[in-house]
Amino acid sequence: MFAIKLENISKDFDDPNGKRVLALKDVSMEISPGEFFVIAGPSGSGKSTLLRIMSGLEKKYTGEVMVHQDHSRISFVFQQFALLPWLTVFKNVELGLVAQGIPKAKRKEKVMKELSEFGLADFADSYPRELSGGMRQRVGVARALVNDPKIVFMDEPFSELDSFTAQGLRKDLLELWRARHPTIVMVTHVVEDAVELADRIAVFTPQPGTIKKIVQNNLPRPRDTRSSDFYRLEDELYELIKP
Amino acid sequence: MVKGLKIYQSKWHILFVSLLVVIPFLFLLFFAEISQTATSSLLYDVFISFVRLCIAYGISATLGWVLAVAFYKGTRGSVALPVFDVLQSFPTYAALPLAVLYFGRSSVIVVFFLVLAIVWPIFFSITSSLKLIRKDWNEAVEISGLSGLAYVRLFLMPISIPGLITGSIIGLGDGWEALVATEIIVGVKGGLGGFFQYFSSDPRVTALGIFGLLLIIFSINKLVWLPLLEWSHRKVMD
Repeated sequence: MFAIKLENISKDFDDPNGKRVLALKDVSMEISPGEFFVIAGPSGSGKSTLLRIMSGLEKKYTGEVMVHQDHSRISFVFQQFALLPWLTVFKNVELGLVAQGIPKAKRKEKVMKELSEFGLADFADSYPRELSGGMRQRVGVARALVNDPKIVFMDEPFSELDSFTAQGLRKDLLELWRARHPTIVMVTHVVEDAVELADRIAVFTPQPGTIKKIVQNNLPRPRDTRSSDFYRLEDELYELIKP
Repeated sequence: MVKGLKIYQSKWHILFVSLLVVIPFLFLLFFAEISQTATSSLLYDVFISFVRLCIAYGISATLGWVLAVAFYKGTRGSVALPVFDVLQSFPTYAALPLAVLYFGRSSVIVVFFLVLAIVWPIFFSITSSLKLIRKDWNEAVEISGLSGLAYVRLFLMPISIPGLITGSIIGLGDGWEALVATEIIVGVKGGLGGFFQYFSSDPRVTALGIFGLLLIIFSINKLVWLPLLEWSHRKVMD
């Protein structure tokens, strides 16, 4: 059984000079339910484009994306948080629940529970501009998880954060993933993130984006980021990614 | 008062704002005396003109917002925007005598021509606000599944507000200017146009009248629009 299955996904677009660019070429793969799947690769390898195709945000492509019917409830964590600045933290997190028509009292209960999990309960009435980058991304993750999604897409969620904040958020994310077990598909160009988080890592080549190799990450969890096995896998990925 | 907005910075500020309310009224009383007009008649003229302007503004704000939401992006937008750009340059006063000939000297004609003056700045300002929507905001909303009235209330309306306010300031500036001219050309009963026409041979009353009008416009700007503008930018901008 799969959560997402891709068959021969290709995508091209016009660059600013009007030249046709092939961003993705014949990408096929399967992601299992509950898997933490990371897409890694250098800039220009079409990682984010593929994520957007899988999530339905990008609609013009060739090939087929199949999302298992039991996994149709999806959410997305954006690189630059994408919080609506005119809404409070509470209302930002509440958006998806409003869309589902969930009653107000139930919405409040779910949002406050989610905010508490991320240590944001005291900031429910704050606006995004009043928060630090790390807190904003916590709101972004809380918004993505509040409607119990089956698949969470994450587009370089730690890239705007300092390393200390990113480390804290990675830890929280892993705890939540272990507790709720959604399928997570994350794009990153940071090899350490991939090794620390992923069950499998798809390494992409640039222009056009194709799968170079899918690496199985069997390091035991919780992962020791200073172990020799961790470094060995990092080195293997660096070798695969470097031009 | 608008939530979260510190309009009053000090006691002197409160006093200044209070004066903005009181001074135009005092001036109207003084002006009635100078022009030897019954105060009630002058207040009536100001009130009638103000009502016409408010109705025209209400229609313009609604119409401008609906048009902007409908045409700010996509193929529809690229076709419609140049057309609207031509329409906003249409010399409306040239068509006024013809409209009077066909539809008579009524307030409806005045309001209609005021709408033509006010709607375009509002439309173009809201359009520019909507064009600044960040791609990831759109995508976040799309992923959340927000649609229908909730989409309008939680996404489109708030993001339109800075454009609506900027457009309202410019549009109402045009509106005040068009108001007096339209009332004079249409020759409609009541209103500031009739008043200025009546005193057109008296430069002292005309000058004082214009000063009074500017005082009212300045007070409304200072009391309503500028605080709203500051609030909206603070609220919507990241």
